[in-house]
Amino acid sequence: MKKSSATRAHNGLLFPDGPTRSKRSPLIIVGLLAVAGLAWFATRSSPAAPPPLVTLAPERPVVASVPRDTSGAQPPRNWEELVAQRSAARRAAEATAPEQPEAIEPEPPRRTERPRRAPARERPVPVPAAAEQPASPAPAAPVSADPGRLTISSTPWGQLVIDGRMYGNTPRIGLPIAVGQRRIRIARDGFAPFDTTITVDPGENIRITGITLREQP
Amino acid sequence: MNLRAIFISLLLAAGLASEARAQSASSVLAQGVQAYQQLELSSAARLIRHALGIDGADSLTSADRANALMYLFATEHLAGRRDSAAAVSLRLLSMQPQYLADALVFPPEIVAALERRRREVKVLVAVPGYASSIRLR
Repeated sequence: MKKSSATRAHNGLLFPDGPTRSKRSPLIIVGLLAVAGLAWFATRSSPAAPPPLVTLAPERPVVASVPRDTSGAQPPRNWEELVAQRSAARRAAEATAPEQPEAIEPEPPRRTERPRRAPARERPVPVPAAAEQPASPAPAAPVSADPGRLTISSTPWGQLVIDGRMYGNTPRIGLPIAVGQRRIRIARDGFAPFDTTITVDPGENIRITGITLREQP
Repeated sequence: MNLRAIFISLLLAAGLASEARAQSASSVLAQGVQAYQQLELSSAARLIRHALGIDGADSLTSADRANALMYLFATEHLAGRRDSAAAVSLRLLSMQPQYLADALVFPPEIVAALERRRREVKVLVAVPGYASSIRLR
């Protein structure tokens, strides 16, 4: 059979007459790629549901998952529909299961609530040592609403005792002292103690300075 | 004869004046110590600083200067001016690194504060060696 001069058959295909091998090969490659793409798309768009997007820990109760296509929705026919379906499914899963990441990751062991330890630096409470307190708790100098202030010093320094309770060493500046009559004593080993009685009025500043403790023989 | 008497009286006056100035430095320190004992802390700090600031032959001796700095440290500590107390303690420990506060005069809180500062401050004392002469050729 005589071929026409315009076309010629090659492997069952008609090509215009005269194209060289280098001109035909891109067409073949494009055609093969198109066939492969169609085949892959056909397998992807099969009626089987897409795999779930979220993996759940098997031990935990399932809070949410991507629903299978039970609503009778049509399987996606192209990429745009597939992407739209997946993004919609992801949004639905996020909306219904916000605690999903906790289900994926193993939860750390919970700590039992312990009573909090007191901070390391606390303001020291000016309470005298228990050993130094008298046996009968004297109402030494509880600070009233408007206490007086005591400034006291001695040479040499000594232990300040007010109504039988110790208040540190002299000198003391602006020590709050309760209103009323108070017994003041400054004592130190090897020295004769200094004793006096004062009457404190509300808001009064009392200064007792220039005390010299005499050495005991 | 008259000129000689004037000259001698001038010498005596100069000597007495310098003695009075020398006494004034220590007397200012004594006033400062008295103000400290009366717990007039502002006056005490001012007087002790004044005594420390007197220079020349009338200045305090090294021992008196150290005592003045110790009283000033105690004054600033009691007044709650910790930065100033730290600066004074640095002066004291730089001058006499082995200075020990009088535990009879100063309460344990102040002695302990000075000891804390001693641990914090490192003082390097440079002592010249025996062969420290310079020979000129």
